Amino acid sequence: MSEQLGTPLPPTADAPVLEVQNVVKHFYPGRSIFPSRRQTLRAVDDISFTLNRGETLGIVGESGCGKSTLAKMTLGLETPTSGEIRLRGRELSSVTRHWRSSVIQLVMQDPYSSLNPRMTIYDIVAEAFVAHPELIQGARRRDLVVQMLSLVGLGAHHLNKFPHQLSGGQRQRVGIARALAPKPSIVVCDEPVSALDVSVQAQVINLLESLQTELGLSYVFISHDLSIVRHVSDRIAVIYLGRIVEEGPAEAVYNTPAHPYTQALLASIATAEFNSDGTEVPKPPRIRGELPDPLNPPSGCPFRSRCFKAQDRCAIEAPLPQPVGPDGHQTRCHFPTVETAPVNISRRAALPLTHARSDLHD
Amino acid sequence: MQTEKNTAVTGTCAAGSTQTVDRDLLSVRSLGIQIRSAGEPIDIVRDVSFDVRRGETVAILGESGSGKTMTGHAIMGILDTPPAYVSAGSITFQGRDLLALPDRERREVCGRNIGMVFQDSLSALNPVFSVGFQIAELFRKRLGLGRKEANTKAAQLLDLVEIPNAGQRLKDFPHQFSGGMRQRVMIAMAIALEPELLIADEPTTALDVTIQAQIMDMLARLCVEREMGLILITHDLGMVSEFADRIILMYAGRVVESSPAAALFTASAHPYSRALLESVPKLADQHTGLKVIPGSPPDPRDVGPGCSFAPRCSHAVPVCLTGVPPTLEVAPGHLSACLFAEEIIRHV
Repeated sequence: MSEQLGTPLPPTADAPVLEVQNVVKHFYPGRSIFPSRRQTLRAVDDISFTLNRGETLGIVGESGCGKSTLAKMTLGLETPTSGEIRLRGRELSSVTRHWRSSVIQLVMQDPYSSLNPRMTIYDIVAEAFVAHPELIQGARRRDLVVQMLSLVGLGAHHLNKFPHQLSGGQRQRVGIARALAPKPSIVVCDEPVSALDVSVQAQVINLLESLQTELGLSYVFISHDLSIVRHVSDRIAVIYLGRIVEEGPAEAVYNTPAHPYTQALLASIATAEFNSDGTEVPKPPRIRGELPDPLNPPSGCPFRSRCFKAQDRCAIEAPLPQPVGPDGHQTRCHFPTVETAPVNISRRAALPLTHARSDLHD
Repeated sequence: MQTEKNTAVTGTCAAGSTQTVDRDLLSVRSLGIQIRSAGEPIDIVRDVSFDVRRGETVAILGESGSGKTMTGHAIMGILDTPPAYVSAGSITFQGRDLLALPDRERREVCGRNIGMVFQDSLSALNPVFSVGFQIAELFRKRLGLGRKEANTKAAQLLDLVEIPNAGQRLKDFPHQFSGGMRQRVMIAMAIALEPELLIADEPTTALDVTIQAQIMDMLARLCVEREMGLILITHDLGMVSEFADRIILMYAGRVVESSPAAALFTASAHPYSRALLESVPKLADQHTGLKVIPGSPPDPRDVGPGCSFAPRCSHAVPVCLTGVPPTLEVAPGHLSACLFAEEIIRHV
């Protein structure tokens, strides 16, 4: 272990902190003794991406598309069936758990169930320093915990409280403090605000963003809330049935979505957008049907069963990633929409509330 | 037999009042709900008033703990009593005061004329009976139909809520349906007896966005087809902007703003709604730093005597903390419970 810790790390400036290459994860549900009845669930099917220092990768997809399995694999909680995951240049399967947990951490969805109700806030955050005593370096553990809490905007008077004495937003702050205590460079945020009240979500999002600039963190940001993903992400990957169907810079994916699934997903968001005369902004038609059975996905392109563009070719041949724009904007579709002008999706700041409102909030 | 007679009587009674009271369905006036357990009673809902008319979608919008679900439960008569009690006000449905009705009649109205869709469809459906049985049961018990006829009606109903192969799926159990499909079943059961009013409590919260949109489109279609009033209880600003006609915005048990849907987004007249709208990221902006409402919603046990939003409000002046602000009509049909409502609406 000491040897590994001693190995010089590659220069972090531009090198990707997280590389995922052709990762595949299969599950075998309902294991049968008859080989002919064994079924394979391709939870993650050939996914590749890289995450650079200080960057946020947003991962979007419906439930059951494999986004959480992907997150678990990057955290080392699941082993890929094939493919490679490299953390700061090191193959994930070859590093120790100790080193891994000092590089990548997780912020969980539900701050109500992810904190142990029998531990005080101090105990919860201090656990990181118990697991990583090298971080203490002569300082008092208590001081470090206070420091972590103040980083996320919680005062030292919370130290001896139990999770149930805190509000949802405060609990999520504790969850963030706990994740950041081992000084990781990557944080996987799995739906970090979906369990919080709307008026508190913004506080947590802002905190995550300011911590990112302050500490140079990289985020893998998983959410089903497309407007929040758009807000925080530099790059976005849209996953459908275990495959990335579209990936690229956030701007490009939202303004010129190339894959029909991305377009449909954006069309499905009920948005609070009104024209200045009070009429609603028109939107493209919505997606039909539900996610197909992942045990028995459609042949060829997995999305073809719900796709309005589907043709014979889609059933035979699975589309390969192809570039559709600058900065690595690519999609897996035989008939991508490639255009320079924004498609039918509104991108105006729709609410005319922007000026003269600063008095409300300072 | 006894119940069947009763059904017939109240059925005609309800039909009679529909004709006399033309468009108005539900009128809630100064509703108050308290939780009475050990110690002082806690006011959960205070002075809530609103109306629902036929074919109208009224959204009750609020964060968790704002009292929106309790209000829905009070209308439906399914408050957990004890500890929760309706402590004040009236709920008038088609000219009849629901709170004054004897229990038996109340159940009749709430079962037949008011339907409810719950958030968690998996726990709301009985796991040991097939979906078809559960829907057909309604027709057999309430309308006294035979098994065959009830099953046919159940299949028609599943078809109406856009479940493919409705006839075959009747035999399936709740766990064999996906979340979206279960929610469709819930809606089918809620509208089975053709209620005049449907209360949907967070009907799509647990679902994916693509499915959410499908379900809401379907609910909207049913409301138009049947001229059904809909109370949509939700915390989703986007959803209300798209589907509601009127919005009742609640905060800490009180209605802070009540307005036509578009007005809340284009000309809101309460600091809370303003702040709420600004704290939600829009698809259009990125990395801009969201406006934040400081603090968190108050504990219902220690809401002060004044405006409950005052401690988080940047407009607040000392008087806000001492007295409940009057409800001002800033535009026709647009009410705001803020001393500075006029000033805020002019800020647009």
